[in-house]
Amino acid sequence: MKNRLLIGRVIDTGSWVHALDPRAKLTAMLVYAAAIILLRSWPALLLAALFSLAVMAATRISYKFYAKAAKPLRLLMLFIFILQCLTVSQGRVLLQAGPLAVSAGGLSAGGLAVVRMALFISFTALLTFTTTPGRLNQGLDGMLKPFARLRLPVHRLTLMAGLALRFIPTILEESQKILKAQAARGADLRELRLRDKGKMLISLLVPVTVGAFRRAEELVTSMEARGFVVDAPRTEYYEPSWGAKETGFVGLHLLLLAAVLWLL
Amino acid sequence: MSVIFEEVSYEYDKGTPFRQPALNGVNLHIEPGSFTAIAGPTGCGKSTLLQLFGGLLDPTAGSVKVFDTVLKAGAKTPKLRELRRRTGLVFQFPEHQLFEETVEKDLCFGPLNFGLPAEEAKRRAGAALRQVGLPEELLGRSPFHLSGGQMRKAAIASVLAMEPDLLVLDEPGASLDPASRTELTELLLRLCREQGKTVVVVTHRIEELLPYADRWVLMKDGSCLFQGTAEAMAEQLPMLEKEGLQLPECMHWWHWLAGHFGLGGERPVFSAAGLAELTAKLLEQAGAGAGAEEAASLSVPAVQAITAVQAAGGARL
Repeated sequence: MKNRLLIGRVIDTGSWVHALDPRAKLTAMLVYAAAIILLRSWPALLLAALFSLAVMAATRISYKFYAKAAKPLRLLMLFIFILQCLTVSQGRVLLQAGPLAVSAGGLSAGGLAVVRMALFISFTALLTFTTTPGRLNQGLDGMLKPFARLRLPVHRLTLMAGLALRFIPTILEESQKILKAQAARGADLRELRLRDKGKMLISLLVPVTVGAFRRAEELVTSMEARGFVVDAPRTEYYEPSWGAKETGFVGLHLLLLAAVLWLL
Repeated sequence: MSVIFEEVSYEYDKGTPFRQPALNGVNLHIEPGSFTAIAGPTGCGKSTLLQLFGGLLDPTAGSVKVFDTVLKAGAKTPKLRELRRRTGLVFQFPEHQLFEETVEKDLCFGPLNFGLPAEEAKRRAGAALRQVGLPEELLGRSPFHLSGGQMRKAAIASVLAMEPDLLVLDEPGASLDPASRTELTELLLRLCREQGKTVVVVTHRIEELLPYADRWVLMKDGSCLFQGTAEAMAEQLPMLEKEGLQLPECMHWWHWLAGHFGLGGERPVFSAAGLAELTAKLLEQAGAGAGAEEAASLSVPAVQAITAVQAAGGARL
């Protein structure tokens, strides 16, 4: 696969953002999401954009990769833009074709919606670009800890989430291998008719599912062989620690939220 | 020429921060009807090389020509049907190669794709299974219920059933017992010598293929370090070892013998028995000629080397 999923892959540049406690990053992302959802005006959006670009720069990961993260959703963004343009009628009418009209207000609303979405997706990619799935999971575990008092099986849930995440690239790779095996024996997806293509993809289901189950079983065995017991207390290889940097990082995002609310 | 690689490079995830160069300006010529063995440490790009043979990867630089199909970096990928029909690729992990519900369906997959009637495909499936030494009862079983060795054999059979002109195998001997490995080597040799098929095998057990392969390709870090016959390989032994390649004990012993007794132009012997005989003969001559002292000084390393050759499971005659 040429354009493999960018999401879920860490780009390690060793910046200070990479080293932050995953809980801080998760909290900051939640605050950021709130700010993006709440903002309604261009000045607020401009502020959010500048803020995002500054934080992205701090990760020392090229903007190109953030842009790539948002790319798969470009059609959805286009759709939202057109929908907003056509349904919001405010201000001067700029274009009229039969029953369809594009007003200045619609254009502005559409633009706002698209930029917000692009910002949101590319900025939150920061989380997966700078944090390994394991640490992310640990952060999630830490943040959900209060719910354990309510008898919610937090550990199990995060373990499940972690394993599921871990398996996505594996299963993709596995299907890729089977596709290769099929191509090598004369059934190349690229050269098949649409109907045969569908058939081919369905024929993938059985071996990939079987493979996933087999892998899951092997994983359980290997975890148990190394002494893993569900719900047993265990020490962590990586101990997250909350310091001034973490507070600062979350604080910055809170400031953004406050500013957005003020500019609303 | 069956296969021509010209300055071929391959990079995984090109243009992303995860890019990984795997091959580096590889030049390769494989003659029709020849038996080529490829060796090298893990991660040196052997498997990538083999996937290029089957048109499964497009080179990121240079060009690959397999029969009449040319894959050129940057150019549009041509129709690969003809290439695939004539090239049989056996992957490193057979469990990734079998995907149908029954072994028979899996064996018929290739032939049916290339437009053979169902009857003929089934006949070939049975024949291929017999060729690799599996009982025909397995035809109705699910390939996922086979043992590791059976899976490996079934994967090889599924490629044989296509009757390709070029057979490319990635460590076919792994997960097979020694007897099956010998059988497999003999089968490949038969296909090569009797039916004129071109065979390319990646191996980690150089000594097992030394007596059979016409040509050797040694790889390191994505580049070809050596291409040529086993004789030439034995001559260049010190250079290759300096590059960090591990060559079998029997080659060392031959190299030592050749150097010590001036056997330069002769045909090398790589089998344990052959080396033992030759050593004995040379020692006898040396003993008769130069006196007992030199013979005694020789006999110690000789004994050591012979046991080493035997311990390494050196190739049979």
